Amino acid sequence: MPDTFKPWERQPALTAERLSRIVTALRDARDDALNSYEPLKGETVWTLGCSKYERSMLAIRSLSESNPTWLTLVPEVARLRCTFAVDGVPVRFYHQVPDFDPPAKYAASTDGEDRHYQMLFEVDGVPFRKMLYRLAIEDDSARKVKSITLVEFDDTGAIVNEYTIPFGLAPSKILPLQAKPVSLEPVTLPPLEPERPDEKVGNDENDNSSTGTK
Amino acid sequence: MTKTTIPVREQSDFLWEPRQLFWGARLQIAREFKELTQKSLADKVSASPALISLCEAGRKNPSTDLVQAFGEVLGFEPNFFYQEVEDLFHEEQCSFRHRRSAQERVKAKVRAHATLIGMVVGCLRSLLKFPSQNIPHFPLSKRTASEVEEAAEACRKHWNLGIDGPIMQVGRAFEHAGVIIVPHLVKTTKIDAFSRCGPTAVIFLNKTIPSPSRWHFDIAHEGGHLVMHPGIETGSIETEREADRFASAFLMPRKAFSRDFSMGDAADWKHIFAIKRRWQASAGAIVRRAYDLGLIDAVRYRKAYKHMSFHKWTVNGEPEEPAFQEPEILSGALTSLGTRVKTTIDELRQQLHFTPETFKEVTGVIVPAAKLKLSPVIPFH
Repeated sequence: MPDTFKPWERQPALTAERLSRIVTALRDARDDALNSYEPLKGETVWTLGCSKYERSMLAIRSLSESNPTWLTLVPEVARLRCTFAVDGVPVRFYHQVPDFDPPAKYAASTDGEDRHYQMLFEVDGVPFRKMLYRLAIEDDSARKVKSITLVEFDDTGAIVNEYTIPFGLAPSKILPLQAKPVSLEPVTLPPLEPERPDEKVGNDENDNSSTGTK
Repeated sequence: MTKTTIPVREQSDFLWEPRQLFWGARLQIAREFKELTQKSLADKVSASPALISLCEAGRKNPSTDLVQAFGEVLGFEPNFFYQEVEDLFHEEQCSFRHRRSAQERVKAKVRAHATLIGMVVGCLRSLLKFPSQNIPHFPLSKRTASEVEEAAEACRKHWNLGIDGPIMQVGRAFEHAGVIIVPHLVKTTKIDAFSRCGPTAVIFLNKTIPSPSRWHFDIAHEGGHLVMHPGIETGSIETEREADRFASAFLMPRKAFSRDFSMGDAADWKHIFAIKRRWQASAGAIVRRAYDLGLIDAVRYRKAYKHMSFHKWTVNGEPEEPAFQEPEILSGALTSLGTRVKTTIDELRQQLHFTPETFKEVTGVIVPAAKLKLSPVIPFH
């Protein structure tokens, strides 16, 4: 699948900088687990996988604590499930080559994701199409992280797009804008009968009733 | 033997001319406004409760002296009872946001008060151009939370408020739609707010609880009833929850709010009060909104609520309250009298057949004393 997909064009929250920070933290955590892997002391591939997963969860948690403005953990019923939200867009990760079909449990949305998608009902009046986002982690032959790819699934679980996330991108200095508050003009009540020309009192400019917003 | 003179009533006292039909509904409104039972009114006017009941039901035309007595006891001129009620506030049109301990007597008083306000507004409409009523109706079919969210967002879009930013003057949004907002004049903490959906849409606020952010929520809550529950009996747990959710969604649209809420630490009260300053909603409403949208979990929500209860914010009001934009339509209309229109407040009162005291009680505006006409001074020669 050609790597022309730009996730931020579909979801403004999924910027390259943010995704890069997440995958860099994941890569470092998983490679650290590999560095401390000691088969001679009874550890197996199974325990290595568990260690990588637990360390990945810790890395995401730590990153969310230091970046609460855009990264949050999504509460899930299943205790070991790790779902996080990038500025409201829920994301999960799994270990597999991205071109292959993902494990079935990752192709379906979780209850935490469904709750988050309720908030993303529409953008500027355009109904939001529910898509799932997963980070597919691919290892090399030495079990080190080779690449991490953002995979977009449609609601049938089919892969629609992929984006290989670069490691170590510098964080952007751009801040999100907040929408301007809505300020309303006061209601004015023009008289039905003509005003007395000799006894005008009050502000003449307010004669027309206005319903506009500032 | 000196001739004693028997004091007689001034002829002018009898100058009012009773019209053909006595309107029992007006007697009921006046009685409920004074928080009197049929029995207590009967005692005060030396009549039987049965007679009062018959008069209110329109099955008995009371004598002129009894009508005069009604007027004296209830604070209305006798002719008040001989005019048709053009816009009666029926029970099924009214919604109360109240405690379960709120007495029916208090609710009846508020409803009667609102009906009297409706009469005042009815008279003012013949003098001033009020905004036409523009309340969108979105009745709920599935009655789900997402349907309520959509109704609130559709309402904001209908009024060109967008769904991205906070509304700085919530009351004005409803006043532009022709809703009359009245600061509550009933001295009770049992009723938070009241609304009526009908030809004259009215929202009453209770300002005995000093919390502008709560008044904003009350306005939006009652607005929710006007938008979602026209012709539906309200007061059930379901309708109140729907109106609460509407108020939250109207004041804090889900997408924009979740974006702002996620920009800080949900466990930090400084962050919550920063959101309060921006969105003009109470910290309680913000925490509840975050919980409803899944931004905080149940444990965090309960901890926050415990914190607020401990500091008595729910009872005494919260810190960092926003400024409140006082309702402007009714007060603006009344201050126009005698200035921008010829009719004075006293003339309006006379049209309504209220006594000056009752007029003040209903509108909160004091009727200026009529200018005395001085008789010409005869000079000494």
